[in-house]
Amino acid sequence: MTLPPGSSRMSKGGQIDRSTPVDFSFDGRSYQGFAGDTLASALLANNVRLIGRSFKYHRPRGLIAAGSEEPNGIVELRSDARREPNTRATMIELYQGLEAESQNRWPSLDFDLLSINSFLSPFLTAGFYYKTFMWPAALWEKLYEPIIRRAAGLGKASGLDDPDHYEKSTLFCDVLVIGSGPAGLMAARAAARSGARVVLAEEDSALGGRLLGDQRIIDGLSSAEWAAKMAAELEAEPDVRILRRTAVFGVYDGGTYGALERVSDHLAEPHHHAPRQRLWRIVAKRAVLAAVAIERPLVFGNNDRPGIMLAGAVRTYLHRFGVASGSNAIVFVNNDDAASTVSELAAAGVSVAALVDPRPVVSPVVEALAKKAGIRVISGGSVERALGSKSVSGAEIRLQDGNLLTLPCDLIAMSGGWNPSVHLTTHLNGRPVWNSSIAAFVPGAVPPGMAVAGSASGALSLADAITMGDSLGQDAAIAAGFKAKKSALPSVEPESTAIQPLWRVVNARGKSFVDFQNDVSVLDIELAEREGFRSVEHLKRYTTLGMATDQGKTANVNGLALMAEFAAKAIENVGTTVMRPPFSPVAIGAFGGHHREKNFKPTRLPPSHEWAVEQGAVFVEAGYWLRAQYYPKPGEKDWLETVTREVKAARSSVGVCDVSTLGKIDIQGADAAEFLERVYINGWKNLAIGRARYGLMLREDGIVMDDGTTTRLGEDHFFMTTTTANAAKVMQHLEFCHQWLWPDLDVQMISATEQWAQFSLAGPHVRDVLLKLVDPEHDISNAAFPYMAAGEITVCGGTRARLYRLSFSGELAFEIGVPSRHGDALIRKIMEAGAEYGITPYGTEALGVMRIEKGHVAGAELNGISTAGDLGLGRMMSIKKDYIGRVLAGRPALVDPNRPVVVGFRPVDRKRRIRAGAHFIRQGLEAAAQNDEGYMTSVAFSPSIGHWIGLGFLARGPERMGEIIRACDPIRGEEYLVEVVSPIFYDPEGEKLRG
Amino acid sequence: MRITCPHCGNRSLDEFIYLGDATVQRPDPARPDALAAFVDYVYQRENPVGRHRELWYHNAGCHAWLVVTRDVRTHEIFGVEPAKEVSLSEKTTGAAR
Amino acid sequence: MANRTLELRSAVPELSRNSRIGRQDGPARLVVSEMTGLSVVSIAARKGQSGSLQGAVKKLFKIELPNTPRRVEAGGVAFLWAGPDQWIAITDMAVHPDFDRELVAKLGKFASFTDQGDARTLIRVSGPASREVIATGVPLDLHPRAFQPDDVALTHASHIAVTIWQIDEEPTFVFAVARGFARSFWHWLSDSGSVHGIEVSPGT
Repeated sequence: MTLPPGSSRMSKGGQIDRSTPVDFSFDGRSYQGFAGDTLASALLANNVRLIGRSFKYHRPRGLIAAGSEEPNGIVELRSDARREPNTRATMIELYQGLEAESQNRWPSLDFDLLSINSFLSPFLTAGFYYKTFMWPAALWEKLYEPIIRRAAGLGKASGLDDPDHYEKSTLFCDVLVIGSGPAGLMAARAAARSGARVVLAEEDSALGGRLLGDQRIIDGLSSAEWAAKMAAELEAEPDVRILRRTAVFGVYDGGTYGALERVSDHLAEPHHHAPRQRLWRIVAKRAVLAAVAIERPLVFGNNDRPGIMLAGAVRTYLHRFGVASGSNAIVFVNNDDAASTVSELAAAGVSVAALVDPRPVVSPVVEALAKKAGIRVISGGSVERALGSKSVSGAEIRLQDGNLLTLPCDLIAMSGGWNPSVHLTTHLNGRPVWNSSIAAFVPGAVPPGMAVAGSASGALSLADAITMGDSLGQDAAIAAGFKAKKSALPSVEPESTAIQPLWRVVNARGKSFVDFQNDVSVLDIELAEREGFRSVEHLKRYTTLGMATDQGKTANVNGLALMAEFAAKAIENVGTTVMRPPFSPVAIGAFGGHHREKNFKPTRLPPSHEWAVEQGAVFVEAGYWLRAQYYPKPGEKDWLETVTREVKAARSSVGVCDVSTLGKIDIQGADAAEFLERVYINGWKNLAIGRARYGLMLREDGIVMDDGTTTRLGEDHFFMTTTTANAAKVMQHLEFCHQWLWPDLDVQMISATEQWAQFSLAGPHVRDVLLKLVDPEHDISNAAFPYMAAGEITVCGGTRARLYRLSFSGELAFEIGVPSRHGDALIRKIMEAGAEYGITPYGTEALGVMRIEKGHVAGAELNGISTAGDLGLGRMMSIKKDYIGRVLAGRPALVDPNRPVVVGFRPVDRKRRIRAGAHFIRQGLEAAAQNDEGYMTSVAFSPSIGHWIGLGFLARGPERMGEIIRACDPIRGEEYLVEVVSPIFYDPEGEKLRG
Repeated sequence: MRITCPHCGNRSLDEFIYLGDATVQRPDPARPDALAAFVDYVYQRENPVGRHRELWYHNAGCHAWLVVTRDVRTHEIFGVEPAKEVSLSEKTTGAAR
Repeated sequence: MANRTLELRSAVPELSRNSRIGRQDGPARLVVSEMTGLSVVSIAARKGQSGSLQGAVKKLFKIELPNTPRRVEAGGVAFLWAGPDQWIAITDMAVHPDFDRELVAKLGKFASFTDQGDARTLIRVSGPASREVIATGVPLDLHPRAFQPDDVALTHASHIAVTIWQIDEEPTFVFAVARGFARSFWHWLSDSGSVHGIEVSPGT
């Protein structure tokens, strides 16, 4: 036959939609394909054979395969922000306007200057990078790496924000079937008929697997028709979920599978609001792995020339896409699967110059088929070298009699046998085992709950796949608790799968590639063996065999066999490398899903958030919470000016701050007080109802865990507060103490953090403001409601509220709590009531400044290594009771008098700014670790005092008041003198807060 | 990995927080060698291959502490019990951990 | 008896007005509304009082307190399992404005009560796409074979702790979300549901 000029498309046939032409471009040139094409089939149809340049040597490369195992045909897809490097042309469904670019070539695919690397190849063998660029090490980052990256990189990322979104989802089923070839379709049908909930995941856009690429007869239908009929039957089952374009990429414990669905990759861009891809977590009671087998290339000279393809891929392009991969073929195979290649090519009108089979005797079936088609059979022969450069133009064939025959051709269809796709069976530590009858690794121990059917199991014939799929589908359903229903099996003609391994052509001339994607040739493996790399894992790292996007799907077994040959071992004794998820590449975006940018993690908003936004607040993240950090006013030049104003207002009149984020735990029960005694270092049984107390908790190792104020609301009712940061951790700890350590205590704990909108009001005018809000029947005078009083009140004419006379700022202060739904209303009422006193909202910065002025410890001091004593709170530790952490807090190291203790610091030069993180060194000593006496933890500019102040840990600090020491900050390159002072800078007698 | 919470049912690992060995017991703080005993309790851990009894917290579920018996090599789980019930029954029977 | 003299405010302003979000053509396949005006109280049985509590609740409310993750409703009060020996009770705030105090008065001997009416935002989700959308954040099997009306689960949705229950076979689900996280929850739900078209109807 003669192909039309510029086209290899057959005049009829294939599962493409010839009524829908699709325009696309490759390297800027326009082409046309049809709906149902892949980029690969459309390029082949347009006679585009040169698709990329190889990784290291920049050799011209074309397509080898038709599926996800393709090592060569990787392109950059789309443009601008959607540009995606390293996509496999065989997996890209053609869409109108598709743009693709070849990779790894400069300046152009046809004329690549770096193909000179091919001539330098003696220097680019295994381990080349390690050997050549060893020295000097300093040149790695600046010189070697950029050069290597440019020369040997794959595609380039767009560098722009991905405009699409990704989704993650969870799916539960009784039986997961992975792969929809004959075994998968049968397994899914059998499980579905039993009533099981089935998920059928297929990497391809259509169900059928090899049924689509082969031409077999099943129940009188063509294999593709039969696959379509089965697909329709499964679609009609209500509890079967078919996931097309979905690759199961990983197996995890507990019957969990990871899968990636390419929801919109077959479109120019996702339909409105649809995700680009969806990451599935599939939880299955049972799984049937019915993945395919992957055909092996043959290893001979220049076996990487465009036009040398896997025989199965040649059939797929022919039957599924109606594309002839060449017009004059040589079929070079070592197994009987090739029979169909010969007869089908001939039937399609492709002339076949020869069938070359290294076996001395070709099987009678194949012989007969070839004869019938008038094809020359060369038994006992092998292709030693392919001719041609950008496209194969002929082959040098060594005949059985030793003579060399050169035949012209534009296609070599090769088959070295089939490797069952065992990858998913190994993700939970299973190791494949060697099966010499098919000359391939087959699954060994498989993950719990998984069974393997069809060619993935090593049962390569169609009849076996059908029988096995049906029976394993039934077994899976039974194991998941259903009753099997027998169904009649479809009938198929048997076929031979006989094989005699040929791992390489011994007298090959020219480079014989094993791993096409990584440019690993036979010589590299031989060299690695010679240099002592005996473990397959070392071989992989040294030669890069089996790395990168295809993970050696076509290369690994050939590589192992050659390693075995060079080491004179049996292949089963060489072992395999560990295959880990993912089976095929997964974009990071898919793992992120919805959780990117502002949704990277959930945000927790306090009740006054909307109001704070209206005030123009600047926010800061505190764990999940978003809190107002400060409230800038127009004309303020920086945050310091704003914070200084806020502090001054609170200290001179009245300020208000949302403190709802503190953790709140309702603790009730007859033993509530006893429970608190055991978790806090201080006493609680003597706390009066209607009073609050500061408490400190330790971890069992004696280190401080958290602090906060707890109020006694009733005989058996306490209300605990925790720090914002530790709320969840404290709740978990208390549950541990109750459920595991002391289950006999009558205590109940309910988190009430979100129930209360709580505002701290501080400053001399606070009572004036509160009097306008608190209903008159509640007396909040100093006598009736003294410092540390607490109780239930009502506000604004009857709304339930709680009032606490607590002060973190050191001012006369109250915290007022109302149910959160009223929080927004209350802050507005507070602002209204305080207007005449110039009430000023303050944020976490001002809160921090005021607590430093008062010497209160907070997160920077509760740093996971400090003891109660270090915080100056050692006297709180009760000696009348046991509590968590008591015993180990008494360890010699934790009571060492030389431990650093919190004290205050001020700069000797009062104008100087000081910073947290500076370490304290005695004057006259070297600023070195052995002279380190502590470090600054918190600093603030104190508006009340007029200079910077700090808190920090200093060895024997309380004994050293007035001493001048060095504060050394090598990270910022600073050093200055500070004076050791009391940590309480403001109102040391505490008169204000009791006023 | 999935854990079957005795209260909530079969759930994914990400709902749980791991603590550690469930076979250690908080010593009596009044015993004369309390310090040494607490050092063992807090820091000393066996690391046997195979089955472990360990404490997990159903953080995103019922907030129950659980005693999970798990093979650390295969992640096979042999049993999950509410820690509170385990602890109570040990206290009533005087069984040692 | 106290009143609610201050204005109540939803944690999710987007749920306070009618809107159509995402895909605009065809009927919305996801319907979302906030359930407002409810009293919610946490209940934890006192030590050894679980049986007495169940008896007293049966007398008072004609309800068997569930010991498994279920919801039981009678006379306008629903009790949901919330962990071993714990429940939450939900009712109409207009009828029971101080429900926690009511319960303490009647059942205080047997259990501890904590008002949670303001701690949680209740969001109702229904429509034909609801299971599919919920699956993008909730790692639970909500297939009708596995989860039915009145089933309850404590779990997380898009990393946010939630209690979820089903109220009918339409299906309609209700999420109870900590108030502070409610807006983030909505961002997840609206992002995931946009492809199906979302109808938001104001609180009920």
